[in-house]
Amino acid sequence: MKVKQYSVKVFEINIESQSSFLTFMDKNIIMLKHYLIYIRGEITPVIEEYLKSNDITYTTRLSLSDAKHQDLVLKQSDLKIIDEIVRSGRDIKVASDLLILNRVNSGAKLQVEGNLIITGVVDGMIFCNGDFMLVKTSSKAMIVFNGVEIDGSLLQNKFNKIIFNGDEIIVTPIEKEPKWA
Amino acid sequence: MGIVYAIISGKGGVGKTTTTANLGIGIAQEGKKVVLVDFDLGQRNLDLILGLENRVIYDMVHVMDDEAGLKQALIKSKHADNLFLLAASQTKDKSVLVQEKVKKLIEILKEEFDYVILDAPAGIESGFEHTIMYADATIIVVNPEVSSIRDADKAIGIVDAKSEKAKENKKVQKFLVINRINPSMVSNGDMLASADILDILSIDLLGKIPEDKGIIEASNSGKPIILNENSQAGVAYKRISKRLCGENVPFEDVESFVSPSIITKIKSLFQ
Repeated sequence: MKVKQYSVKVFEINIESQSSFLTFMDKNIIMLKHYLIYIRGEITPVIEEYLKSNDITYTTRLSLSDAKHQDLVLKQSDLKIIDEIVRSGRDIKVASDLLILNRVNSGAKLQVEGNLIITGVVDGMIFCNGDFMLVKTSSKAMIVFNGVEIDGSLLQNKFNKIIFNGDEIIVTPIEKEPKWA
Repeated sequence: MGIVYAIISGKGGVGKTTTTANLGIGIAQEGKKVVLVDFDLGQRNLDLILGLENRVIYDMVHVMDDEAGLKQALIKSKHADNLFLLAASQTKDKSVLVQEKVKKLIEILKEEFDYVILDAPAGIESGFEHTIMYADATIIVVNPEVSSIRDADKAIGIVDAKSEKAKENKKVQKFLVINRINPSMVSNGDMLASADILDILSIDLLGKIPEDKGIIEASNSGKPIILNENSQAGVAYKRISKRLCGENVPFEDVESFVSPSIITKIKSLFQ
């Protein structure tokens, strides 16, 4: 026997009227096509036909709050947000994703198991094991991504998107300064 | 009720005690009643720089232990009316400081004086923590070099985490003094520029003080540089003192290197 575990994104849609449902679906069909849809309310034959013809995966028997189906509740990965300057001497360990809305100064250390975005300049030390990282570093910073130290000269002075796709690390500089607000 | 300022730096030798002495005189000259407290127990310095070397009979430890009254221990400055020094103990070390006693001392001083300025010891150990514990605001003194900046950064982090105000969820004001700026080195790019330092530390700038060789002589003779009206550094301390008294003094650019004017150059050709 083979068992696999998936994390699935589910959209929950309440049918209020057939027409409004169909308008909504038509508008968003491109995106919704790729997700499992949990439909509540009456599925009229017209709706059923629509779903079938558009090849949409859906279910009506998914109770996210029902205790019996607790296992089905898919917990979104936590995101920790730090909205202060990370000063020298701080040693931050985070098991989830991390968003820092400020600088990381020289002498500070971050260890992040999830993905990482830092909107300020990084002078400190970063260990990130996620799939994705967006950082702007100075030449002093040390960045280790999935066990690989990334050459500081690659990253200097602009935002870089760093992606780990399973067997290689891809660093893409972002030419335009992102607007965070 | 007076305001308590702690003067801190993290790193030693950047000019905390010099800054304390000069600002003390500067604020007193503005007509405020000021007390300077030397928290560097075991390594007393502030008395020397103020020219009060052999005047210390009772120190802050005597006062905290009720071995002397506050009035007996306060030493009046020769340089300004309204300026007093409460000296550090030279025989005892930082381990004698007890939080309760420090708190009581500072409360008494706050009632007597408009400005209570605490000169912190270098480092971030217990003596430092006692200094910042009951401060309303801190003045961080840095030199434009990386080791000073990192130590200051760490010290600021401790102020934010441990001071009594921070524990009550109130903001502790933090002001930056950049000391010993060498204008020609900054313009050559050999010294950190103020803008970079402010970026890293993210606190408000209180003032910049240019490097001045006169400071060494001033310290040795016990006449702080602020008393010398011809000194750039002295004038800079004066401006900071006025700011601390609430006066809106515009910032001077002590950083940009003013090369000798063209007239000076032309005149030199005549000789």
